[in-house]
Amino acid sequence: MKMMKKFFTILTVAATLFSCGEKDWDVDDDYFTNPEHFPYGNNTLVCQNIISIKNLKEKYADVISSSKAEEITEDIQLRGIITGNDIESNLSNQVSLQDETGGIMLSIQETGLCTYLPVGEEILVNLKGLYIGGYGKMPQIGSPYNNSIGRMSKLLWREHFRILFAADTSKVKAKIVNSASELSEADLGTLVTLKNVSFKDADGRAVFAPTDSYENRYLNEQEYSSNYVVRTSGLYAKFAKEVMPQSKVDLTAVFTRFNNTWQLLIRQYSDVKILNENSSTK
Amino acid sequence: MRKKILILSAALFTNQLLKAQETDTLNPFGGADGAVRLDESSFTFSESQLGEDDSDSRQSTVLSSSSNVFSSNAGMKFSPSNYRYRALDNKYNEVYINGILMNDAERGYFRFSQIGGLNNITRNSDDALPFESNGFCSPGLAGSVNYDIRPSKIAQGHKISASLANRTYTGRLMYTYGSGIGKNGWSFAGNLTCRYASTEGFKNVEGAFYNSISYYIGAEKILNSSNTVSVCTFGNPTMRGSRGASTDEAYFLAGSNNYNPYLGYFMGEVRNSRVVKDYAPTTIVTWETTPDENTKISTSAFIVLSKYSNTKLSYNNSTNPAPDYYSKLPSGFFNAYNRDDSGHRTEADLQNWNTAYDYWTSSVNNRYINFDALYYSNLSANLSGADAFYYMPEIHTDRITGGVSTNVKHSLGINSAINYGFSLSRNKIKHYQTMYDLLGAENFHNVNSFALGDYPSYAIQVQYDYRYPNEEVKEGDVFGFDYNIFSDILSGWAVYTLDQGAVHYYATARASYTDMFREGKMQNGFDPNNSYGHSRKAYFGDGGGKIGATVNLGKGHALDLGTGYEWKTPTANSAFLSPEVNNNFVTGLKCENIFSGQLSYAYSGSKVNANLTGYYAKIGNNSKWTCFYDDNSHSFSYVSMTGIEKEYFGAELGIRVKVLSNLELLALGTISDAKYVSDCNAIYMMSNSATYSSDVVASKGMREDGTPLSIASLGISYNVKGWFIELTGNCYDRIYLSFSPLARYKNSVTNRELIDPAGEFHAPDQARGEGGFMLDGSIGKNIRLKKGSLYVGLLAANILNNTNICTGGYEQNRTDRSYNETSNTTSDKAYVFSRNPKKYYAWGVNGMLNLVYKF
Repeated sequence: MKMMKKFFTILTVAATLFSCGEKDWDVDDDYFTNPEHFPYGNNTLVCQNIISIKNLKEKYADVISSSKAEEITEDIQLRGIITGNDIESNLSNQVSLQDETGGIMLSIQETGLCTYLPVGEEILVNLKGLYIGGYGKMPQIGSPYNNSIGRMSKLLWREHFRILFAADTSKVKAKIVNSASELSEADLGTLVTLKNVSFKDADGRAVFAPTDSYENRYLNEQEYSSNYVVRTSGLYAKFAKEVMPQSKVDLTAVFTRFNNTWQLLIRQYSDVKILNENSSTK
Repeated sequence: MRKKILILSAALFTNQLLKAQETDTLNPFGGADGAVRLDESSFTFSESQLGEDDSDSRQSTVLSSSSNVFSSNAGMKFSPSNYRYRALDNKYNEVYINGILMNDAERGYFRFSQIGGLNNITRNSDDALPFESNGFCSPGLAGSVNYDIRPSKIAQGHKISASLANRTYTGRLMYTYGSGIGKNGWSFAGNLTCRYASTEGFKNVEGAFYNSISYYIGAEKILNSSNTVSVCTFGNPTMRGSRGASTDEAYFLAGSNNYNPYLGYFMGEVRNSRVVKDYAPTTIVTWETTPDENTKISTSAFIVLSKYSNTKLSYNNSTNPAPDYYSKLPSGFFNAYNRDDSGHRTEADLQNWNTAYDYWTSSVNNRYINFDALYYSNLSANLSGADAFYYMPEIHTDRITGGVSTNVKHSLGINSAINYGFSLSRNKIKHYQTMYDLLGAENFHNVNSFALGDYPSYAIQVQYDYRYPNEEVKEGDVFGFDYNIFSDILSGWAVYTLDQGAVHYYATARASYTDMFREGKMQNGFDPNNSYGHSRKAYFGDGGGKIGATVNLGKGHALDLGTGYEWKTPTANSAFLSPEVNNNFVTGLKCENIFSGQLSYAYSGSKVNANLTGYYAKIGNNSKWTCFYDDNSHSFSYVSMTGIEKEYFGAELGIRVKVLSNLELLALGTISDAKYVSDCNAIYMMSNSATYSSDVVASKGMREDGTPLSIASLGISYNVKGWFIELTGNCYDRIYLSFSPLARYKNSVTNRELIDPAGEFHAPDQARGEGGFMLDGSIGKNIRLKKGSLYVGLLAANILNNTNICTGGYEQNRTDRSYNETSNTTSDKAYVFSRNPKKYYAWGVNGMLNLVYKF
């Protein structure tokens, strides 16, 4: 029994000394506010030679309007806020970037852009070596594709941007639009909110995109002629199978074009803000 | 006594057995089978290879035999290659403790990590090869073993050992005590083992930490001359990091076949994304009685409460964060395998290849999981109220098993004996997933994100549990799936032996009844009426038998012939179509039918012992269940394969030559085949649609994977002046990798290029791993002290540091071509999945230094 006592003593001591647990992986709150620790992009870029989006678009106006692409050889950079991404996959392989002067699309061959380009994040884009062009006359940054502009590889992109400030959604303000006349080419690539509009085909059953193709939906309001479409990807958009509301809505979207069609790209289902559930437009 | 002598002489290899018993106590490296097998350090050596993961594919067979030179050495010597006896699934290898079958009721096999660290307790074993009579079972197709862990069987005295290693753990402390049988009839025994490795420690598994305590406590009382009762309890609480397989490209870029893609960096510190927690406390009460001199009855009752969980990294509305994910590798941008694929060999593709190459090789941070990035993304998701992009679920498998088992050994006179027994066990296996770590995110909901997009957010189909729609998931909460499997098993067996002249006959029989059902704990939106609550019950009856004879031809020569046929109940883990979703059983589920036979020649002389064995087995109606992410469908795919037919055949040779009294040579070799001889049926369900599809898998010609089918080995052992030296060279070859069913679906549109104009389907060749040569050695010395003895030993495996030996792996379940529904065409992907299987490689040079003090 003496032996047993000895054994149990050793057992108890050893079990006490030996703690069996994994490290606690708590987040240090300050860690991610330090720009040196931003874990995406190229942290060696510095803010210099900033060009405004408006000036950039003007500089390459011919390339954009002819839907071609041209390499940017000058050492110039954009500084702007992300206003739209693929959070619900309707914008796919692209994000919209906006500064005080306008907006532009960044076309990147990658899914899950929303994981590191959240709305409200401020970034720097080193344009030298990237291409600018028009996709159906829509200004965008990317790589050449079939004599026009297409997506740049995620590897190239990774070298050409730097996160300046983590996302702050208060920096994102959509332009309030009460009638179509308030929209112009200068608003392309920016976030807009169309006030008090309604969907033409909304019958309580129709969804945004019933098939796996892209679907264009029109607005009832006369000032938005058939040149204005709400465009949804049936294959990718997470809200594609949601029923379109019959009531009036405030519609927030990224304003783009494909040649002579003005396209409104809803970023996420919550961009459709129902004004009055009971008021049917039909 | 006379009976014992007769049995021993009738059994083939008396000589060896006695020698083994002698050398066990005298010479831990003496070279006799039993000695090497039972030696402290040898056992430790392979311990880390055994069953650490909750899947049978990476577990070596633990098999031994006192009667066969090949079988007694193969399991231990070949464990660095993850050798499985005859390439059979581990469910055919039965493990008993105190006469109770401990193989898992759901998957059919025993996980050796449950007794990890208890080497000194499991030394007293009774082994049975597939065609050997024994006292505890009708042996399994890949053999059976019974560990007798009662305290009276534990060596008397104290034993303390300390070890340093660069294996799965870097340090180990072990203390064992056995009281022996006291005057009052009591015996006690105990064991405590601690094993440890840090994340950064120097070892052969990159970043895999290891924290484990093993304990054993036993008490036994001799009540009177014919009755003893014992209680034993043991367990092995372990927490450790895992290692993942990767592609040759990733290993090349990382500059090491030791690269572990499960690792990452978080705020500058190494973090393993796969944390395993494992604890299976077991208690066994055994009563042994001898009602008369010819009968011994042993009855045990047991309970096992096992908890096993494994974390992993998952993603939602984002891309796979695995660092070796194909789209992050250079060959994800440029098709390096097909010169004609001009679409993926442009200037820009080549430039991307180079950029990816530079990225991967420029910094260690770039080839591991970037936890900082995952946290950053999740923190930004919090701002918009979105669900976590990345999270770590913990997959749990908890088992509660209890039962009783009785074994009877009955002598029918001097020439014959009958052993028989029966057992009953009840099993409840809980499968569920909890949120282990939200990685900084604040929001997550219990919805099926794969189904969103195909269904609106308000549809029932997107709900994992419709009873609580859109339920918020916090850390520790159950989500995704939650179900129990129940199974009752009643079984009986008998072994009859008869000795007539020079012939030892034996016949074995077994039969069992099994029932099983599922209990869903969530009402899955895909099948709301058939997911919550009990499924119907499935019943199976099986049985079979073996007969055989051993003929002593005199002068040490003997022949052994055996054959058997049996039906075996499918394991519960292959019985359900999509157990994570609903209650559906696999249709057409049948008992396996197994024919096996073996012819063996043995020679046992004073200097030479040799065995040559030829065997054949055919398994029909085999079934298999698997689950993987199918990128063609952007969803998980649950696949049941049924109607599998496999053949196993081969030859095994073992020769041991005593060149000098202190010098021995041991040669071992096997050449075998283990292959699917038919195509099989597949039924699969996608996690984004819940519809079942069927197909035919072109499995004919596929081989069993993860074990070498050809092995040659030569060893030499020498002892002089108390020193024991051993050196063994092993050659491994013909190692196959687990084949992908998806790449072999005969009717899949993405595989239609594999059909020739005559309509013949040409299945891609099964991926293989490289074999190679491995040199292992050991040196040790026993030192007698004034009080007790000290053993010092060094073991070194893979001394030549051959890190190019593949020990298994799997083909990626992805196809090389993508399908465009609109144009009904297929096209090459840039990344050629069929040329990039995931592989495991053998550890480089690794060793263990042991100090053992006995007093």
